[in-house]
Amino acid sequence: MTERETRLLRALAIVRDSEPLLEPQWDGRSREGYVYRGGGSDLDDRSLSGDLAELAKQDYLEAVFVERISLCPNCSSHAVNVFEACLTCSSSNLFTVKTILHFRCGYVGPVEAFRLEPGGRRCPKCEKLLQDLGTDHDSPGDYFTCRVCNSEFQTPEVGARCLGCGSRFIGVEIQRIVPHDVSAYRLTRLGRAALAENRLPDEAPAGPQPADGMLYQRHALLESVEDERRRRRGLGTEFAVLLLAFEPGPRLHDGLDLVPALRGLLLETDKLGRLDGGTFVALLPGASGSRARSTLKSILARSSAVPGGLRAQLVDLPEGGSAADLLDRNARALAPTGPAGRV
Amino acid sequence: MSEYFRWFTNFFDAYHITSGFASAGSLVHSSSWLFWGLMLTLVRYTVPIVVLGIVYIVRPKAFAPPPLRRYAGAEPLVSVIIAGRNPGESIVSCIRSVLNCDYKNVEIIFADDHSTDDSVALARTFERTGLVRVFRNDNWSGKAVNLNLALNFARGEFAYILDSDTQISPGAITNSLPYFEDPRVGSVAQSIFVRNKSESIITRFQRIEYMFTYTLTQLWRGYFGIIAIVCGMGGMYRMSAIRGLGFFDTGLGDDTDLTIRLRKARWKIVMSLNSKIATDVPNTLPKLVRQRARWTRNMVKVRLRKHLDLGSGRYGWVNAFVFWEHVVNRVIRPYVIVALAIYAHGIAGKATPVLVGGIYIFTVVVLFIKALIARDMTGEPSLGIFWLVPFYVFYRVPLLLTQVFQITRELLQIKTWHPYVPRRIWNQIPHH
Repeated sequence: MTERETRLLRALAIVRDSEPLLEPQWDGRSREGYVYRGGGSDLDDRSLSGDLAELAKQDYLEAVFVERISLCPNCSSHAVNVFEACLTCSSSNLFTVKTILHFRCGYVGPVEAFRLEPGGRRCPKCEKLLQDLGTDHDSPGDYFTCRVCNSEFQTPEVGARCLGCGSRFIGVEIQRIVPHDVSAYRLTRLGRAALAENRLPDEAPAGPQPADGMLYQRHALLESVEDERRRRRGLGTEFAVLLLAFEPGPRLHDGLDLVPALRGLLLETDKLGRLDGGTFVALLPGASGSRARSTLKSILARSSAVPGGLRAQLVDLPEGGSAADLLDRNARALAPTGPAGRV
Repeated sequence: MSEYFRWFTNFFDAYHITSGFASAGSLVHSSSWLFWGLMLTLVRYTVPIVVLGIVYIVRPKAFAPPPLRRYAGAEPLVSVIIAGRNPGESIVSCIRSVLNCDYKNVEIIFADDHSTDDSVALARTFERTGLVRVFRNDNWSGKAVNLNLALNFARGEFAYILDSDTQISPGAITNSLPYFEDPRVGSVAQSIFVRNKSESIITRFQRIEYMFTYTLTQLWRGYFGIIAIVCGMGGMYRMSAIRGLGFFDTGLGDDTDLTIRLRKARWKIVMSLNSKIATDVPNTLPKLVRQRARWTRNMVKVRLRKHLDLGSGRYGWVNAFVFWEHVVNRVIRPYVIVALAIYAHGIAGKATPVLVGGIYIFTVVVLFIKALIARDMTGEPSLGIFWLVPFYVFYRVPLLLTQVFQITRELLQIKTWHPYVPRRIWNQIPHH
């Protein structure tokens, strides 16, 4: 086992120990502004963040969005201070001016231009006293004035300064600031299986591996399924999803040798991916019900060649709920007790 | 009716044309009302333009801007003020025309009247040039208020008020500036051209009309110091002059109102032939009628109610002349024309087509002469649309009837509110 694999397995174990969810803890002293407490030193905590992200990418963990933060592109510090700046000179030395519109004469000017008297404010143009806001006057809006260059504008420029390295970003430069999603993590079935076996199959496969591009990763496949659902909603297009489960063998990568054979039964446009350890999903874009059923039949015809048998099911994905939840629910129902070959 | 039609269709031969002129000639001898009505129209609408054309041929330099003295080599800051509601389709070309004109020391301020389209986003793309500022009104408030909002932020020595569906041509500001060498000049009217001139037959007619009304007529009126309106589509103002007046008043007819207030404050108003702007005009008859209905009502509201005192002589005899000339030509004349049409029918009976035909031919000849003068002086209208000139009279008929109807309506104060101004503001305006 490599050092990297050991580290990733340790990260998986930390997530398991923090169940149901490993949540980030906000920490102003850390460079990125948050840490995952793994019980080790601060250095370990920082590397843990990267390990968790990598595991989520490989579907061992599910990332749950918590917050989006901004990081300095130069030093990755979270201490990025945002300010409003002058359009002309970029100074942040601004003040806000409120304006008043007097309906009667149409005069528009700053509040201070309307002289304050015991009875209220008086219009400098027509010399009438203002009554109640909204009845005879209102505010067309506020604007900013720059104390440095005296410019007036309604929408200031947005600028930022990194308090870590001192870099200043203004105008188009602000787009360089890196948006970074902070996530909490939970184990997937694949992650659980990896912990049970104490190895990461995709890292050091012991058995046969599918050829490149034959098998979609879980998150990519789920995104494709969601895309198809959106298309069905908007354009009324058809698609079908097949769920394939085999009896999990002693090793996590058992069943991968089945992939080339399954791929051979699908069209090039169909997508085959692994939902978790023993469950595959075949997405058939544009497939009618009859094509889906005939594909299912062809797959089931091969089930006798799989040790322990293969169960397959045509899954209905109604509107509402995420594809991940619906597929996981169907997978749980299919794997241990569901009748093989159900259509 | 069919008899009239036959008369009319048989009319266009040498005999009947001669008869038409003979009928008109007999009116001269009889000192008929019809004759004097024709004379009034001729004097007011044709003679000055013909004189203008002759002066232009003899001494074209008379229409060149005066020499620069104080502003020679200097470009004082000009604030270009644009106000509009939902001008998404035109705001970009409007701003771009100012940025690309030959005058460089400009700031452009666009006050958006609470648009529901993408005007603000489009205009804000120019903010990074450092020359454009955009202010969005939080409430729908009408054009005058938004012009005031923008003027409130203006820092220029001069203000160039521009409609959002208009664009200025290179030289517009440069050629207007010399007129401000005279410290008594408060505003410079511009030559207004039709931008969507080939969009429909209605826009083609307006192409001819704008040359008569907003260029040639303004030019001779400017010569005599009797310009009655600096059109809201585009005009350059001395900032101190309009700031002293508190900028625009709320209500309809903001441009007419500001012009009259400038006149009352004894500012001179001139016209620059070489300052050209191009604007979009209504492209269908219903839209055109709606626009002219609004203009007519504004005219009555502003001139006959709000600024009735202009005619009293309190503000000088020239201003009194401007007022009464307007009353005669813009209020009384439309009624007179309709009355004369009925009167002519009364005196001519079945000979009406001959009489109308005579007047028609006379009018067309005059219009051709005016169109040729306009073409000579401004390059517009092009010779390609001269074939429309004989039909110009028919284009004017629905507009004349609209005028009569709207003047009557406004004088009788029937439904005075116009949705051009929000109700909450309208209710607060003192209506005279």
